[in-house]
Amino acid sequence: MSKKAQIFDVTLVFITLGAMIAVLFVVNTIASETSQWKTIGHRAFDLQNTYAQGDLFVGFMATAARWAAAETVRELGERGGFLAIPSCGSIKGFAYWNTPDGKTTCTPLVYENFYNLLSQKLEHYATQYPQVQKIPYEFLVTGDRLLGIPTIPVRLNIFGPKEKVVRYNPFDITALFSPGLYTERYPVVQGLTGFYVFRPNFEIPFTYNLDIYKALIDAAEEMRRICAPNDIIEEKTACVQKKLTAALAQANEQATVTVEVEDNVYYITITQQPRKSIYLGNEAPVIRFALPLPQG
Amino acid sequence: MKKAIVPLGISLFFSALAIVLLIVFFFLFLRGDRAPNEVVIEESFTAAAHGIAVQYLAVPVIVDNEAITVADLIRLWYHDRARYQKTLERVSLEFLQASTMNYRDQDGEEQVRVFWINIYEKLREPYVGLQSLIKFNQPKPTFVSEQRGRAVGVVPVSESHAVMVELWSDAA
Repeated sequence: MSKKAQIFDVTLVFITLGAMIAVLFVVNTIASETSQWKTIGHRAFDLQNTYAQGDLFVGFMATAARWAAAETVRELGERGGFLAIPSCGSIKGFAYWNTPDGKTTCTPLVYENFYNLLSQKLEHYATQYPQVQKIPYEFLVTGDRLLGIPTIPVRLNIFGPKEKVVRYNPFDITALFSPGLYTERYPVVQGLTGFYVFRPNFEIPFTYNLDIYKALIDAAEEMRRICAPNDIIEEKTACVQKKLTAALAQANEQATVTVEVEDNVYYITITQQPRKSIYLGNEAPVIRFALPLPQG
Repeated sequence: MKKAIVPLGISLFFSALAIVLLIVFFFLFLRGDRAPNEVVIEESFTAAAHGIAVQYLAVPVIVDNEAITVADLIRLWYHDRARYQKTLERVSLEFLQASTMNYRDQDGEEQVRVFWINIYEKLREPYVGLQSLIKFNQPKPTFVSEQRGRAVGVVPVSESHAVMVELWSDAA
């Protein structure tokens, strides 16, 4: 081998070596953007985090439901058990439980109204939670528990936050040799790896007595039948008081009764004592309704 | 004939050197920036933060002779800070203390995993941004490491407003 050939041989080896190292560098530039994220266990953690996010949401809804249930009990009482506008109208903020002539009753469907109002409130609460769609709920009060069952499931996307897909441009030589520049020019795409679908059911304590309404509605019927014909106002008022007290005892409810009379309309306020729950705040909830009891 | 052996030896030597260098570079480049177990440990910080956040908000606490959760306590505290501040601090610090964990990293070194809490809210209009309301650190991280995880829980404080409970998992 001539001296020139030897020099050529060594040069060729180094050129080949340099070229291979350059190729390795480029391959590594691309691979390092993606390979380090594909780690064993990474997707398992993504899934675990998504489950936890589901649990956080269920916790949020249960917390919202505890407060919303108390607010609903309070608002329902102030509305005389009606959802919005009482079917017979109202007077001085007291919902009529029968027509002013005393002939037609219009008592509230308390459980139905309670569930509807609670559902409205929970929908408002849910809007505070980021990226959650509207979730309609069905409810059931059973004993001292309130069950909330969503009618549609919630879907959480499982993102691999670092599951990056790099767009590859083999012709951009300058970017290829600069990882930072490459990422800047060819931004990564976040990968969606799956969905976690679940129903955010909840079961919360429910210490409020909605059956008090049934006792009061029955008492109102008796007042119309027994107390109304009495033309002595004092005796009629005493009769109303007696019926209300008996109704509260029947419902096993400790409450104070306030009765005001004006033009044969009885304005009745039931103040429930003692406080049933911390969720109700310091002010005792009331039930207000107006009962016209004309003599005719 | 003897003359040809020397150049062949040089050629073989350089070829072997090239292969050795290539292998060295191959391992240097393709080893990756971090070992996989380090990435898993980092991910575990986020997972731990999520798990702890779920537990923290559901911790039972007795307030005014009634059993409620920390999430409920945060709502009570939001509306009456003077009355519930001490209870919230006590419960939160006890929880963080109990959640602190000692472990050994992949190098066998003793590490302490700590958690800290930041409760913040979005400012109402016309202001824009986030406002921190209270923070709980126990023990206080001596530095902010690169390896840490974050989870955010939401607590409704009214029908139209909520606060965020941000839970960090960190190495101290």
